[in-house]
Amino acid sequence: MDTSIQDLEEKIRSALHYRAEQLPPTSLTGDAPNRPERKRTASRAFVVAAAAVVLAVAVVAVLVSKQGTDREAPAAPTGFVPCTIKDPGNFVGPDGTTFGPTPSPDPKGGTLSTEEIDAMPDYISVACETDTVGGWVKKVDMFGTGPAPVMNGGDVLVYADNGTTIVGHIGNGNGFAAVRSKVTEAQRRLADRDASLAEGCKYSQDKPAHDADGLTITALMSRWIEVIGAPPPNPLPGCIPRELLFPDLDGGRALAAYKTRAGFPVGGSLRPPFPVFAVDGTLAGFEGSDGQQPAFITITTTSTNGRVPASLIDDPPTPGDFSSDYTNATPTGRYYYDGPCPPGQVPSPLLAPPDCVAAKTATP
Amino acid sequence: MEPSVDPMTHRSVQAVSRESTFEGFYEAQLDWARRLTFVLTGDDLFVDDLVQDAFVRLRPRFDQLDNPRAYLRVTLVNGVRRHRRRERRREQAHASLAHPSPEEDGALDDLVDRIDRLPYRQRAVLVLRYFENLSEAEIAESLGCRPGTVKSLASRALARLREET
Repeated sequence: MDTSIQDLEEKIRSALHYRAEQLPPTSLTGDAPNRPERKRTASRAFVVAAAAVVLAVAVVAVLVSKQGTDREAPAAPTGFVPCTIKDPGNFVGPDGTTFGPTPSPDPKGGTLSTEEIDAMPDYISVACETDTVGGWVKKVDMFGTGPAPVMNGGDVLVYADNGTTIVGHIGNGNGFAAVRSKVTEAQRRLADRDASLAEGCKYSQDKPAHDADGLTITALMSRWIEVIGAPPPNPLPGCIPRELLFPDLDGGRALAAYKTRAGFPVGGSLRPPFPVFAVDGTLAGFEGSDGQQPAFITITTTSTNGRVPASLIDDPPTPGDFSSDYTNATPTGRYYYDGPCPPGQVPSPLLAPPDCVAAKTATP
Repeated sequence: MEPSVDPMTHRSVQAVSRESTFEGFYEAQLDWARRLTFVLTGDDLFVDDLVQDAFVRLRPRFDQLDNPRAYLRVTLVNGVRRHRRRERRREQAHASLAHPSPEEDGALDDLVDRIDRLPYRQRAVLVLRYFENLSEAEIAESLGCRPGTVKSLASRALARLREET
C-alpha cells in the first residue's frame, strides 16, 4: 500500500481516537460537567427513588374514565406490577380555558377514538398503583394518533413531574426502565418547554421577551391548503402542541400526529407542510413545503389574551431551510377560504360559511 | 489460556453473559456507544440524547437480537444521520448551547475538522473503519449499502483528505 495512504490512515485513526477522548463525561451515569452538586444529588436521588418505584412497577396502559376514575390496563405481563395512568386534568390555557381530565377510553382496553385522543391533554401523568406519580408521558407517544388501541406507543419516554428529567420509559405498555437518569441541556430545555406547554402554555421564555401583541410568526403558506381542505379546530383550546408547530421536518412524528387528528389525506407521507395555528384557533400558516413551490409568508398575529406560546416563535425557520424563496416571502399566501373580503379583512380559515375577519398584518 | 469468544460478537463469552439483560448491556455498552456517537457527530451536545434514543429503540427488540451491539451501532449511525439533517436546520437556534472546545492539538484537530466536513456517509465509513475497525462487509451492513459502495466512499473520503493535506 502506498505509504502516504498508510500514513493518512494512521492519522485518521489517531484523529478519531483523539476526538473520542475529548468527549465530556456523560450526564447519564457520571458527573455532568458544569452542574451544581446539589442539583446532581437531587437528580440522582430522584432517579434512585423513581427507579425504586418504577422498577418495582410497570406502567401499563390504564386509562381514566370521564369521571376521572383510574382503571388498570388489561393483562399486565408477568414480572410487572400494574400501574395506572392518572390524568392530572384541569389544565389551564393561557386564555383561561380549562381542559381535562382525560375522557374515558373503552374500559375494556379497546380502541381510543381520534376524538377521545384529541380531547386529552398533551401530557398524561404516569403513576403506579399507589398513585405515586412516576412522571409524565406525551399523549402522542402513548397513544399514537388514534384511533388507537390502548398503549400502542411502544417505548415512551417518561418525564419527571417537573418536566426537567426524563426518568425512564414505558416499554410496549408494560415496562418502566430507568434508562435515562439525567438529561442533557438540550433535553432539559425541550422538556422544560414541553412541560410548560402542558401546564397551560406557561412557557418561561429563555429568549428575549417578545411583544405578544405584535408577535411575528414566521410561517409559510402553501398551495397544499387548496388540496387538503379545511383544517380542524384547534385541538386544544388555548394551547398549541409544540409538535404541530416546528417539528423535525424529517422526522414526521409531529405530522403523523396531526395527520390523524385532522384526518388529512397525506397518503401516508410524513412530510410537511404542517399547519400552524394561532392561539385563538385560527390557522396562522403552514410550515414546511409541499415539495413543489412553497410560498412563505410572515404573519403578525395577536393572541386572545396577549400571550402566545413560545412554541410559535421558538425555532424560527432558518433562511435556507426550506427554500431559497424564504427571503422573498410573499404577503399573499392563501387562506383556506379564499372568498372575497372587504379591504383590511381576510377570509377566516375556520368559519363556515366563509366569513371575514380582521386582517392580520402580513409582511414579507 | 485464550478466553472463549462468542462467534457472533467476537467478544468474550463472559462479557456477553453479563450483557444478557438490557440493563447489563446498557451499562457495558454505554461508553462505547457515546464515543462512537461523538466521533460520528463531532458534537458532544447531543451525544447523550442520541445514545439514549438508540437504547430506547433497541430495548423492545433486545431479547430477540443475536447481536444487540451491532443493532445498536446501526441505530446510532442512522440516528446520527437524522440528527445531522435536523441540526443543519436548527443550527442557528441552538447556537447558544454550543460548548467551548477543549484544549486542542493543532494537527489532529485540523484533521478532525476536515473529517467533520466530509459528507456524512464518507465520514461514517471512516469512523466505522478506523475507529470501529469494522470490515467493509460490516460497514456496509451498518450503513445499509453494498460493500462496493463502502469502498467507493472510503476512497473518495481519503482522496479528499489527501487533497486538503
